[in-house]
Amino acid sequence: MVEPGGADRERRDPTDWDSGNPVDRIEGTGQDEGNAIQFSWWNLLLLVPLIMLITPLYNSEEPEMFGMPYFYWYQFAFVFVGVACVGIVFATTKNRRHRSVDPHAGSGPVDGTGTQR
Amino acid sequence: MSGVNVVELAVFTLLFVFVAVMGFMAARWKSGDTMDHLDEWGLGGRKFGGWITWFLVGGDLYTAYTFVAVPALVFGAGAIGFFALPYTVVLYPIVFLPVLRLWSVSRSHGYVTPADFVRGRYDSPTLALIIAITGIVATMPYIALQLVGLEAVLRTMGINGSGFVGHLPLFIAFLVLALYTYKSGLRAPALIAFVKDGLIYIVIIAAVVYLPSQFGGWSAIFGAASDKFEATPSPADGILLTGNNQLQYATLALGSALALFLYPHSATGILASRGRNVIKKNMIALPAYSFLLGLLALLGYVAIAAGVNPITNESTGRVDSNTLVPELFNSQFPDWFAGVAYAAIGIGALVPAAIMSIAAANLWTRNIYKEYLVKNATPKQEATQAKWASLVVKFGAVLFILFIDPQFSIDLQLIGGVIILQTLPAVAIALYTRWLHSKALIAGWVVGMAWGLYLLWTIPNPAIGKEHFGGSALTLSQLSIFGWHPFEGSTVQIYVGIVALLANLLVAVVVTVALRMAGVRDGRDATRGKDYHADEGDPQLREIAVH
Repeated sequence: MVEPGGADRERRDPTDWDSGNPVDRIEGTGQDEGNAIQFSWWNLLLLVPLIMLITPLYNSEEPEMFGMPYFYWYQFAFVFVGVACVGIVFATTKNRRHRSVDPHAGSGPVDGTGTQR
Repeated sequence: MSGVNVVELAVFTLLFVFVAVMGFMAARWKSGDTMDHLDEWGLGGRKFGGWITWFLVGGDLYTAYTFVAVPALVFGAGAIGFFALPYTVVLYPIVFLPVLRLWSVSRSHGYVTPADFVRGRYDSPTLALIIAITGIVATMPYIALQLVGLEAVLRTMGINGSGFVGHLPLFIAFLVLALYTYKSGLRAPALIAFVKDGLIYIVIIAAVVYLPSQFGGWSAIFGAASDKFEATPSPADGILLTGNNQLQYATLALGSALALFLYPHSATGILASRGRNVIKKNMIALPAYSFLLGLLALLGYVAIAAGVNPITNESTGRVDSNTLVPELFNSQFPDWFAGVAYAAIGIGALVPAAIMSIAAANLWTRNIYKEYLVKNATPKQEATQAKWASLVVKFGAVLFILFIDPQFSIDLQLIGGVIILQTLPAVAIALYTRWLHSKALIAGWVVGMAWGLYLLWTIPNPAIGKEHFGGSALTLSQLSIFGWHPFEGSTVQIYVGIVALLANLLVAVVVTVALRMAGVRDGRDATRGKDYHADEGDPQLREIAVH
């Protein structure tokens, strides 16, 4: 992990267009740019529970379980799918964050909006 | 006032008084140095750990109204009412990453409300104001609905008077709530949530284990429900979705999930937590409530099998469908247990009502009072202002129930979901990119709001004889873009909120491109990339409750 360098920190954010405002290109990990979005391929697992929104997959009575139509127990089962996906993303991205943020690079939050109180 | 069930009422009152005492004591629970700061009063010192956050956010999101309205909807319409389950399952994967960024940036800059974040991100007081007003307007009817839930319980216990006397117990309950929220701030609902959710879990699990065996198991219960829906003339109900309402089911679940964490009270629960890990663990553990809500929804079918029917509201003369679950408990369980169940629902109304009024008060104080009225307000003045605002908000909700038909609150809640969704580009998308221009976001909001409200206005509900605001399901053939009907003849239904959000986003993108080409400058961004990853324990993290 490379610590963020001072000069790079003041580079303009490409998504920031003409605001004339410096935004960190490099976050604590030393890898992030722009809005410091930390992407991990594991994050795509968060899309899996959205399968639940495709209703034709489960809008039927058969097969039943415990007397419950498929429509109902399938969706109850998806509670666990959702928990598993979020849990895996949590576990795999847990230590990505570099804890020792350089105390000298960049100050704390900058005021200038009056919303800081 | 005849036919009051003494045992139920006694158990209910006992538990109610118990939580009221807890509410007042909460001021001293994990208290900081001062109560004269919004970090303390409005966010409980920003230091809630995993368990407290779980109970607080759980108590906040899964409200009393949800607990009575979802089974009532399943009872009346069948499968479509079950949307509450996919809604609360897809919710957490969707919000998992954005809320972490919201927490970090808010912790870095001391933001108390989502509108504070928008103010800092875009340097646009106007955009922040419309976000704040949208939040307040969407929250107010939600608070009123908690009263509807509480009243449903009171009516079932026999306190079903007409006129003002009929509302008196409700008034007293809310007065007590208002006082301890005033005194203890967010700590009161956080502490009470332990009792509320403990009771809710006990009651629902007992009901779901015991009741099916009384009616021949789930198979017989679904059979009874199926028979009921087949006997009705409506083709839209049934224990499965129809060809027309599947899209409505999916879009309603998705739209509700996208909207939930845009509500100010949800953000309040998140911002009150100590760190990112607390939130992450909660996003994994909160679906326990979703599972519970799914089971609860099925009680609508159990009520069909049990032959239970909702009772009539004496003050309006109409059937109050929200009394269904309380009636089911009344008929199937001994009085003392029904009393516990009612207390669970009743206290379940108080927790979210308190958090919502605090969230609305925070918005008022930070984004209207401090922004426009007293610009150099001290933290102490802010805290005092917010305490009074929370009282005003709650009494506003009571007046709503007293003088206006409860149906109106339900309509407003429906509208609330659609309008809060219009803040998604300015709040949620802004967490990732500042590409959208602040003026374009305002334009998108105006279009999304106007079109969303118009579409809701055009939806009739023949079943209850309403011409306007009859529901949130828009039939695609009715969709008109300046007189052009892109889905002519289609009977498929879709959730209005999603349609309005798409229009909002389209306008925001087009106007942004136009403004960039015209070289119109945007405000200054007060946030830095690293702010979105700040966490507890970081060096240089701003102090809590100091300025």
